[in-house]
Amino acid sequence: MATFPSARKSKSPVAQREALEGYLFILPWLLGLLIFILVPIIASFYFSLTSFEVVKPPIFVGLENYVRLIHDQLFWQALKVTCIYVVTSTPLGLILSFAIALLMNQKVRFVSLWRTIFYMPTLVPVIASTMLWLWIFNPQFGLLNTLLRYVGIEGPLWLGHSQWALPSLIIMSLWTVGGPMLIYLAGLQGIPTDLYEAAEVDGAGAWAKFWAVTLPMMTPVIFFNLIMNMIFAFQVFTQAFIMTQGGPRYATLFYVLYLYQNAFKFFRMGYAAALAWVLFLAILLMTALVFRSSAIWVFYEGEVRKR
Amino acid sequence: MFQPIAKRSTGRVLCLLLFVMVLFSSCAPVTAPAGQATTGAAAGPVEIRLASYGLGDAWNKALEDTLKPFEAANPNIKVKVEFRPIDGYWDKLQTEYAGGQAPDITINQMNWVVPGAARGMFVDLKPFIDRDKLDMSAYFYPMEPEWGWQGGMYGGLLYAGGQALYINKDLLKATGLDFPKDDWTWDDLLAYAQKMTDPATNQWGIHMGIINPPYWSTSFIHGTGGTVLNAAGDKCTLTDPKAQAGLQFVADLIQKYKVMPPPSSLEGQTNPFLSGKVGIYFGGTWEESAIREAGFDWDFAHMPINKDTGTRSVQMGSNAWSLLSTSKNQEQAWKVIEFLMGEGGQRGMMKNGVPGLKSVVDSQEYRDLHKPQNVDVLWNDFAQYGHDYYPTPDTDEWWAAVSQETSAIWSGEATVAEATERACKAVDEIFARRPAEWKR
Amino acid sequence: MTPTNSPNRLTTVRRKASLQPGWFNRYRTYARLKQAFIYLVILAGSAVMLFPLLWLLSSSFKDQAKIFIFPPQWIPQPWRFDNYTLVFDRIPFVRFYANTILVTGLAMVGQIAAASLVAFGFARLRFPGRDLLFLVLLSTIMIPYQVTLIPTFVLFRILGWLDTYAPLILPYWLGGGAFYVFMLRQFYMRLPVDLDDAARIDGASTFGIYWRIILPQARPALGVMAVLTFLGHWNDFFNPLIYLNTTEKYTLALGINLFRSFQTTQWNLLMAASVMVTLPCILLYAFAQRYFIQGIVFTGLKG
Repeated sequence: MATFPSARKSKSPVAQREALEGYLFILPWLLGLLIFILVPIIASFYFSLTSFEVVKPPIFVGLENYVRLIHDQLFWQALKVTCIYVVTSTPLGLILSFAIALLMNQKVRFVSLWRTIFYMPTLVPVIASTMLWLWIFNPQFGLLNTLLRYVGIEGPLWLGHSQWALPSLIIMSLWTVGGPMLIYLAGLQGIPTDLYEAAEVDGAGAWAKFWAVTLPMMTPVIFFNLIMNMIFAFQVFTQAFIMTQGGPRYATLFYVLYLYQNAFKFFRMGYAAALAWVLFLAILLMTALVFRSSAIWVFYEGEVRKR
Repeated sequence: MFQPIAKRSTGRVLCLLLFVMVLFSSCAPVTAPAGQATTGAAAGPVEIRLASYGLGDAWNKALEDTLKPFEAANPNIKVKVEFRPIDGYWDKLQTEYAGGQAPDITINQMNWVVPGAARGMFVDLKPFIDRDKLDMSAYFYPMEPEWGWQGGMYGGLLYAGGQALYINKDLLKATGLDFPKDDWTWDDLLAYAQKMTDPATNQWGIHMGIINPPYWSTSFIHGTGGTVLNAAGDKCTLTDPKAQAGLQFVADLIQKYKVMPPPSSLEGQTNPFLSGKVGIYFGGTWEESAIREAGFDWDFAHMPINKDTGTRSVQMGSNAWSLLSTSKNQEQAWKVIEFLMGEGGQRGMMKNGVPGLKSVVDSQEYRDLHKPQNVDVLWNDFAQYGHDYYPTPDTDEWWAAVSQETSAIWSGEATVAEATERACKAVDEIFARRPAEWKR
Repeated sequence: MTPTNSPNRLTTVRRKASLQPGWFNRYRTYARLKQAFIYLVILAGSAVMLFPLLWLLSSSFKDQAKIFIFPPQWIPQPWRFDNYTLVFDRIPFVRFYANTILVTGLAMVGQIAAASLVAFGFARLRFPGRDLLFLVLLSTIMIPYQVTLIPTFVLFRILGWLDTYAPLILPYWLGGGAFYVFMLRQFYMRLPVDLDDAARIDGASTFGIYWRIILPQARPALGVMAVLTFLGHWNDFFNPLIYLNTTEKYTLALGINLFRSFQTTQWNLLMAASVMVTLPCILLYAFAQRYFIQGIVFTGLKG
């Protein structure tokens, strides 16, 4: 959270007015927080201290759920699978989506058509795209293995094999980079043209301009995409839920999938809530670390405000 | 930056916690004991909310039409049918129940009835059945093993369902084979499969729609005299050599004889039986209408017999109607279930599933509906060799564990011995955590 | 790596090149090779990305039995144009469409308004507890919804909102979602503070700065937000599933799932319906991208 200039406790009327206006601006969110978010979140914390079978009233059990978690092999497996997914799919997705955004920002013919096409995968309903990927990964006739066979390789079983199932889902995740790409594209629009002109006057080539202008100016957007992709990667659920049910042999047992199973299939909402709070702490820790690091590498034009 | 919240707000957080606890203790569902539910005191018809997942518009219409005569005969009861998407049905139902907004009646299935019943979610229908003197011997389908829990009964039959053995007669003819005899054996099954398999045209002798226990491979576990769980349902018995032999037979169909496609090779593919590429299909009764539309000649066959044990087995798992314990009009809701279980309901829905009443399943009308197929094969196997899916209060959990491990058999990652070892270890760990009151 | 809004790079190159005739050809060959490479990458990428849509489209014209066969059939045989009319026969599709437009429109407008206001507060104004509150804002997305579902449901029941559109709309008017607040904040923070100060000296109020200075400059980000929120509400399955009971009130995402049933799915109809559900999204995107990508040529306020 080091990105903010810390609010000093000056009591000048100007500062007081600004503070009041600040609260007014965030008032909609504060109200939403109080009405819709805070109580459910606190309730979920209370659930984590209970044995709650969903259809029976919760019974207070103290820290039992948290203790049990330590001895639960599937919890560790889910944590492992999810961490692997986060540390691979997040950077890969970030780089790929940035590269595509840069490409889509080039002077090329029919650029709006290409931009639409590259965003297409996120527009198609999940259910349709999942069915499509199931047959891309089909070991016998699927697109991937057919292509591999052309070059003389017998492809793996993909989703059917415990060593390949997770990589398969990571590959699949790269296909929906349209979302972050869009945000990068909007970010690229905000870079003042005069910065490039100045760089050109200094004799900078395309590569140098990228490093000296584009990249630094994009850091706030990269930062945003990094944080959000990380949070979303931690919470990945749908693909495994539809395609693998966590298998084979728990190879794709994502954390939130396991949490979901506990909550609504195994009647252990209390345990699920404990899982949720551990996940919350893990994400919070990672986010805080990234936020702290941001002081070094994220550049805000609007940040420095000394009066 | 993280500290202030701890210092200042501890008190406030505690207050909120208390508030939430009060909120939830007051929202906990109030369950009324069965049999003595309130009779609708208010004037005007009582509305009974009946929730079901949509099973296609023809099905939905059939259910609504079935209920029409009931409403005509019972002007004081109005049935409001709510069709919901099948995805998330169970999650939504639990959420509604916990939030005090559940419907009066729900469609139910084999992996939900006992888990819900063990936690007080459904009303025991036995007192109603006894009071109204329902003749349970009129049903060929035994409901007790599937929906019974600690002496109670938690479901009324919608229709019977489960495993069915379909044969592609066109493919038989093309291979020059006769329709399997009633007492055909596993050896015959293999011989048939080998003759019908043709890798060149991607044609398979056998295919199993859903393979992991307690689904269709279980027929073979039972065939060799094995079981998935012991009779008390508190110990995994897959490591028993008999059970392993059954699984080995299925594994050999895939790996040794290559007459059946490994499940992963069918990922993202439509059922190859429907495209006429499979000779013998172990599927579900619910697939009948899709197969009927596929455009080739087919029929039901008896399950094959294991020569050594002389037995055959078929898996049964049906849909039920259950009464939710939060219902304020249990008497009226029971009337609806009673009707749906009875002649009216069974006849009304017989196009969509196997009626459980002997009188209906024996009627010419029912047979005619399924012509030219011989539907008697199907329900006779059910009646004589049917086995349940081992319902327990923790069904979904141990099913998940078993299928995680056994799926490694079909992909060739694990031997039957390894997989069953691991599966039983996981399942027994789950059972070890059971509360004492779950003893049967 | 040159953005489109910088002065045409090729002309600059040519200008330089013409001064040194020897270099001219080499520059041109280099530029051409680069262009060729870019097109190659774009075409290959597009092929991969277009795949699902083409598949969706072709499936929607197929026979139920022909959808998932191997080898895949790209040209339907036979063509089943009636899949599209069947969709309207089987479910109240027009009704679902209208419902979805209503819910999406109302939720989206409120969400954009709220998020842009709240983000302005967090990005541009200083008040005690701001950093902590922002952290709270972010943490609200870190708790998986599965464990807050039941309390939220109870809350909406107490408010009497079950089987209405209120749970699908009103919460978005209050706050707009942490994701978008964070996104807009990042975009606002890239704008130089000189902008605010200059406006303030001209006598603009804080709201005036938000309305006249920041919002116009943040148009690309708001455009992106419009697309993303539209998609989010348009395709939302889970919330309508939990809060709606009456079929007539269903939204599209929920409605098309009625083509799925236990172990069987009318895939051809589902795909035809999906095409009709996806079409507005593609149109909206194609239309909106003009807005947020070629929208403004931003020049910094340096001097």
